[in-house]
Amino acid sequence: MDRSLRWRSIGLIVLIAYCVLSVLPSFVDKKALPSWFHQAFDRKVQLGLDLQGGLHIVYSIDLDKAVDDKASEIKRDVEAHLADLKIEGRVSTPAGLGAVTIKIPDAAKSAETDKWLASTYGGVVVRRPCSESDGEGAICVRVSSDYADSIKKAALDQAVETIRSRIDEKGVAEPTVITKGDDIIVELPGLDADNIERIKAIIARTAKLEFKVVDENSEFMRSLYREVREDPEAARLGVAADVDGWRHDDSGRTYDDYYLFAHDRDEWVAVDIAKEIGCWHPDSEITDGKIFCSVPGRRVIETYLATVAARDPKLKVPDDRQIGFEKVTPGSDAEDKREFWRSYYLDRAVRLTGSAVIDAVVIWDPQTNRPEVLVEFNRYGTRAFGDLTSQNVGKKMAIILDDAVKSAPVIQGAITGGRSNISMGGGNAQEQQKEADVLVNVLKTGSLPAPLRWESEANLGPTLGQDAIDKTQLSFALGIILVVIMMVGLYKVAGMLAVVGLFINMLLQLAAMATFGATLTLPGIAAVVLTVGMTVDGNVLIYERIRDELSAGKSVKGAVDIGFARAFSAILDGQLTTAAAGWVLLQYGSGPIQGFATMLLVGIGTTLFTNVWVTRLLFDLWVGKKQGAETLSI
Amino acid sequence: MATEHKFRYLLKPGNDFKLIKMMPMWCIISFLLCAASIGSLFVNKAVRGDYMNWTIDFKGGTEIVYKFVDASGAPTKADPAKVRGAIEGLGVQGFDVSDFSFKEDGKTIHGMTVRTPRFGALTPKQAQEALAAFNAAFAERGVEKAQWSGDRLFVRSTQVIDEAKVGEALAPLGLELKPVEEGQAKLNTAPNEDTGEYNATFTVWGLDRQYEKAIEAQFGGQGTIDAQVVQSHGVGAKAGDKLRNDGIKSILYAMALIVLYLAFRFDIRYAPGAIVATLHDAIMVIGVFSVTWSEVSLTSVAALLTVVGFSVNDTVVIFDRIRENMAKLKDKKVERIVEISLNEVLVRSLLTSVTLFLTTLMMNLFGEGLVQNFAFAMNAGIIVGAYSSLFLAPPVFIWIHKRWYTGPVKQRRPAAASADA
Repeated sequence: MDRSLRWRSIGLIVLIAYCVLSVLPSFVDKKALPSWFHQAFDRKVQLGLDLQGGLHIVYSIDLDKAVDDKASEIKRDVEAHLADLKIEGRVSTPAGLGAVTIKIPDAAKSAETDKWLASTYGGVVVRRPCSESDGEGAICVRVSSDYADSIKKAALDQAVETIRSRIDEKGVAEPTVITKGDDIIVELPGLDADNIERIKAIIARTAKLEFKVVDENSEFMRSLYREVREDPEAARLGVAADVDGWRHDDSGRTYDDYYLFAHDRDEWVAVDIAKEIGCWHPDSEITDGKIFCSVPGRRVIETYLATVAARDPKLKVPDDRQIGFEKVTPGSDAEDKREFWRSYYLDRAVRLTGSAVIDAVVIWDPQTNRPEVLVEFNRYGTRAFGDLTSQNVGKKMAIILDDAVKSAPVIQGAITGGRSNISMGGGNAQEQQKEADVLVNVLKTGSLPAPLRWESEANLGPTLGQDAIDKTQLSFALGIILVVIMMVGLYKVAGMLAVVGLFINMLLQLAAMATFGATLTLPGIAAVVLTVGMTVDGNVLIYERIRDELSAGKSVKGAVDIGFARAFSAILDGQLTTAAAGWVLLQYGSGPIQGFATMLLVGIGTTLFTNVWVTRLLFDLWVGKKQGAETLSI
Repeated sequence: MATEHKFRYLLKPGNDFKLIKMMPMWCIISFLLCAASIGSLFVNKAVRGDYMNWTIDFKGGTEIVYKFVDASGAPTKADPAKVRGAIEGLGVQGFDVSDFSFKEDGKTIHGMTVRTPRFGALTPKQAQEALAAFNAAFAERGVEKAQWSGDRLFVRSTQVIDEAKVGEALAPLGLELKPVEEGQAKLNTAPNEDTGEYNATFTVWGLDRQYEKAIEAQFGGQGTIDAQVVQSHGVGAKAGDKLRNDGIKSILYAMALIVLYLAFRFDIRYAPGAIVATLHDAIMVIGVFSVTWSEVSLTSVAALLTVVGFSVNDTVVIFDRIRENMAKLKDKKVERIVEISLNEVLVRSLLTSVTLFLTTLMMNLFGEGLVQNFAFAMNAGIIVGAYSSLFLAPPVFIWIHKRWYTGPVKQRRPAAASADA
């Protein structure tokens, strides 16, 4: 046996040993293997929903939110219309599903606007009775029920698509995301608990990104600050006030940002409030209709603000302003290391939203050594962001994600590059990394039209059914036996080598899947069937060539050499054309198309390797043993 | 030449079938079959109401969750195969049955979920009659919208609609109302705070009860295992518009890339033949599904992709031989070269196709449900795939070659060029 042959044989044996080891955890119970083993080979071939089942989660979605968003859109449109015609008036969206109120002091202009509204929004809005708070002579409308139905349906469909792409982005093979009445069902294949948690965090994020301007130096916050300093109620709730002052170097202007802050508080709260703040679980202990919860600091401040506003109308937040909240992690030099929530007094107008984001990536801030997310805006966003920063130099800009301020940097100068950093706020570095990954995913895939709420969970069996899977295994085995009979029957010993090659190929494929932790589904098995076909095809091509050469009088060794060499171009071109198609399917397809493409590409790689290298080696070993033979059992 | 080789042949070597003569006929047959395939889609639309027999994957349907109690009233498990058998017995196609375990009052219940592509048990006529009866009975209640969604009747009205009266109105039509669920009861009887309208939903016993009875009968009738409906809801399609668009887009891009690859590795003359063969196979498989009215699920899409992959591979191998012979047999006419090449690769093509066909035939014969569906598509696809690679791609190549190709630039002389034109 020559040296190269020996090394190649050793290589093959090592490869097979590795494959067997990496495939083993997928078939043998974890407990039966020693602990060092599953540390080295912890990845498993995951089975998809159709083969193994998984987790079935039901989310409800607050579709009324989508209707209220429509009302806000109408409000903005009416405001623009009034501004265009220079009509004095106020538009508001009072409480109530999809309600809009327009107040125009001039009666003639009011009637005109009413007419315009009817012609522009006929069918979209209908009249509603004005309430007392709407005031005299107001135009009171709401989004019509039929139109609201269509908005809700569109929002539900959009939510399904968004969730689907979020999970796809995570690379989970073929989840099911479907509507169920007004709810959404998400089914995830049998992943481990860690992965499930990660995906749930991504699904449930509304991912509404907004940029707003902080209103510093305001009289309102100054009086609120004074109030808090003296109020025993604030002290009881643990709400305090402070001021953050700075001077902008270029303009020389000074800014005072007054704010309230509070730590989380442990207290007993009613069940429905507990559900709202997310501390309710099916297993929570309930005493007298209350649950022991850690109430977030922002809710503490919100509760306090409500009581203050009820006491003194002057301390009610004006309509065009709002209070935003940020969760702050004190720096390492702070005395009190506990996280707390602080408030921002914001201009209610949204200056820029996440819809203007085209790309997001995680970057590391070298100064703090913490992850940040760098977002890139589209052309519209770049302009809007440039306007926002140039008009508000020296002030703070609040970056708000899902109603929480992520950060509020001071704008040092106009930013026209169309990029912005979002820092991660609270948590340790590891949590921040996770948060940054989630953020990148949700910003890239867009925001949900309305917040989701977890409703229920169940374990789902394989959708294909265990009985069907058993039968499939049997039929697959029968198919392989037929292939073996055909190959051995026609090509005798060479046919046996082909069969050995086929099994090695399937082993390689499984090992590759296990190494990537890929998910096997029925479409994936379809690709395996195709691989079996292509492996056999490769062998037939080679063998027919060798037969031709032998018939033409070549020596055994010469015929084998030429046979492999000549067949190679046909095999390579066939495989590469299929691979090109597979690659496109992987890039642009989704769901089962991707599952199929992944397995196909893996299969093409292993098939080429098997046909060109493994079968060749088996042949060399076989032919090498019978030096001087004049014919082959082929 | 002295050695006598004892090979076993599928087909003795030296075959020289006059394949080229038959080519025009094959092309006409293929064209007619493709036209028939596309035509059958429209026939289906007219006769059966839809282009193809879409399963729940594509059009959604109803999800019903059952739990099971034994004779003593204790929760029990049921065999999914029997449940599937029961529903199959009703003539339902394209449904899924899977185990479904959930918590109820802290205890785990092993139930079962059935997803069926039907939205409700009501026939369109029944639904229309019921709606008419409803509108007649509640004409004075300010009904703004009344609409069936599966077995649910959604009503929006300015005045409250009494549940018992709905029951009375629908009873003559043989429809029985389901007790209103707790959460829904409030919506049915109290107006929406913001709009002042009543948004009521009334559900009739439909698919859920129909299936329940079949399942109970399968388990041996009354008293053995009692199947109870936990919930029944309409569900949306698994494959949304995005998947469909992505699918179509990716197949088109894939074809473009195949053209590029062939133009680069072979030359551009070969590309159209491969594309025609691939398209032909895709259309034919769709046609087979359409004519036999077989269920089309996401797995069928995978089967279609497999067929396309197989066909492309097969065609390229044949083209490889033609390319080799074009270089070797320069003096022969292109038709003859193609014919020789086809005869040479015929054995290999047959062998590969037969192998793959037998593998999937086993899955077709012994598999079940989706697997069988997949294997069926494969069986059809392998036949058309092998056929198109042998009899469709080569003539397209010949045609392109004779029509457009004037040989390498350096061989072209003015006289030859004018003769071609």
